[in-house]
Amino acid sequence: MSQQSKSTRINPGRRKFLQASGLGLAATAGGGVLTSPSSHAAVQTSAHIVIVGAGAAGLDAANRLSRELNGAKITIIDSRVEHIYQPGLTLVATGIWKPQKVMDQNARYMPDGVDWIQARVAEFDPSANAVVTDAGQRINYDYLMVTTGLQVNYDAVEGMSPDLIGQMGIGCVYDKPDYAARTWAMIDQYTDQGGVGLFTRAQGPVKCAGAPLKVTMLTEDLFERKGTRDRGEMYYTPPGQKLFSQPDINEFLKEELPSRGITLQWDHPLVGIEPELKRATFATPNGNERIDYDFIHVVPPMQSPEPLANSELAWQSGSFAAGHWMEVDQYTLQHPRFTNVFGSGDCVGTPIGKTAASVKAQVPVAVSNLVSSIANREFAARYTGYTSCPLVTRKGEAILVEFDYALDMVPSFPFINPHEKHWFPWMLKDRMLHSAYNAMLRGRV
Amino acid sequence: MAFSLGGILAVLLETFRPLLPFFIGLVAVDVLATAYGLHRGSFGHAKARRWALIIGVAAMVVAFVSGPMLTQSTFADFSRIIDWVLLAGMSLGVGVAGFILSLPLASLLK
Repeated sequence: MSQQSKSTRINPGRRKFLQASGLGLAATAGGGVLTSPSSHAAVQTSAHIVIVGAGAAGLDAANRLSRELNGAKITIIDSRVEHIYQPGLTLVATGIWKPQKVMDQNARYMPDGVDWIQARVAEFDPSANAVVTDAGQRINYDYLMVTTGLQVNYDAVEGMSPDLIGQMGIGCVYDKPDYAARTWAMIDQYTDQGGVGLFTRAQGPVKCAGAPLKVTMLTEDLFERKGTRDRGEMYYTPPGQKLFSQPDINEFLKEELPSRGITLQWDHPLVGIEPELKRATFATPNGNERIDYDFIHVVPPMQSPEPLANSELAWQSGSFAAGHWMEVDQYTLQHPRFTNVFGSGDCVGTPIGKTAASVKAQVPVAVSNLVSSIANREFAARYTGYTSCPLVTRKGEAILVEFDYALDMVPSFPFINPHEKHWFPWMLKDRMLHSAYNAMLRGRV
Repeated sequence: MAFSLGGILAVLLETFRPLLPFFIGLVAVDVLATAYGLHRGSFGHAKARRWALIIGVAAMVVAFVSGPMLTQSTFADFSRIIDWVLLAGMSLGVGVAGFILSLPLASLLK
């Protein structure tokens, strides 16, 4: 399928006005410190940098690179015009937010002077320093920043299709606001009528690994609020023997879920559904087990997008090769074989990641090291594996979990206990994190 | 993860971005009112301070009472002292902002 690509150079006029008005407010409060977040002066270069993907990581990288480089040609390639605030999808899927709240436009965050090619990258050719779009346009680069995001493999669950979301008791929080809204229709119905609810979790890395848990706990909370808890028989079905990678939170959840009447079914990776029969199949260590359900939250396996998965940029061996994640050094985020290529966001194969908070920590590192590479400087930035999950346990209550590669808690706010559920982390999730995310898209946090 | 002052201001800017035209207008009116008050020598007189204080306290109380409601929760969700302390701190900030923003206009009162 060929698609005409469209190249847009961002008009600075309106944005200049908005920045000026914004800076006026900021200057009132803090002396205009927003104007210079970088510790280095802009590096002079004529290099062509191509960014593939205009999601959270791509926009953040584009904004940072456009400030930290002077004279560079920066091209961003993505066909998507809409921007989705994905961390809000769990709240949409549980009826707390309307879908409109997570919808935005990429154009609002595109920096001045960046060429936006509205196409999809169909092929990566790192040996030739080029990418090819689905319109057949070949684009050469000096440096490449890969921020494609990931692909949800609905097909990996036999019988599953995104078209089924919102029908026959099937929900899936991931991917699109529409899917989250349709999931809410199913959860609303389920918490009225009750029955068996299966809350699954795919094998391998998934984006926002806390989302399946949040959907489970918020559904249970909804039962309580509606006064129908006795009608629902809830099961959480992890594919292994763990609920969460951070050990303290894992232990907390192992007590929290059963204490709320949610049965844990260990070693239950979902492999198939029969929508008409409302029956799910799990590949347990004892063989396939079929369970009838009234509601099922399907979390399909995920991988890097096919053009990236099929390229030389993907891990060729090791644990990340299964999901075809992009190979990067986990600390510098530089590709070890193609050293002019850097990556960040959901597409990279690192031990921890795939959250917006990871993007917030990764992009400054990848950009800093890319700029250092251009300037022939030593790499000064390292990604520690920082990630964060405002683990919503009920409407109005959450735990702000932040940890790193060592799985140590690394709280941003010393006054917030990362082991306790309470209101303030919920307030952050409901009111502040969207603003922090938007500031991140502008490369400001 | 540490937040810089610039980062915190950037987050606040995004939080209030939809209301930016209103705030810019309000600040502009305040600047004019302040200039007028200073010119007349009536800026910040006792009655103005009293009215600004009333408005600031009212804003603080409204912020405190409506804080949980604005986050679709209730005071019953406040399970730790820190929740109360942080809500009180945020409400105080709203109150101080209310005082500062209303003082120039209150100074126009005779």
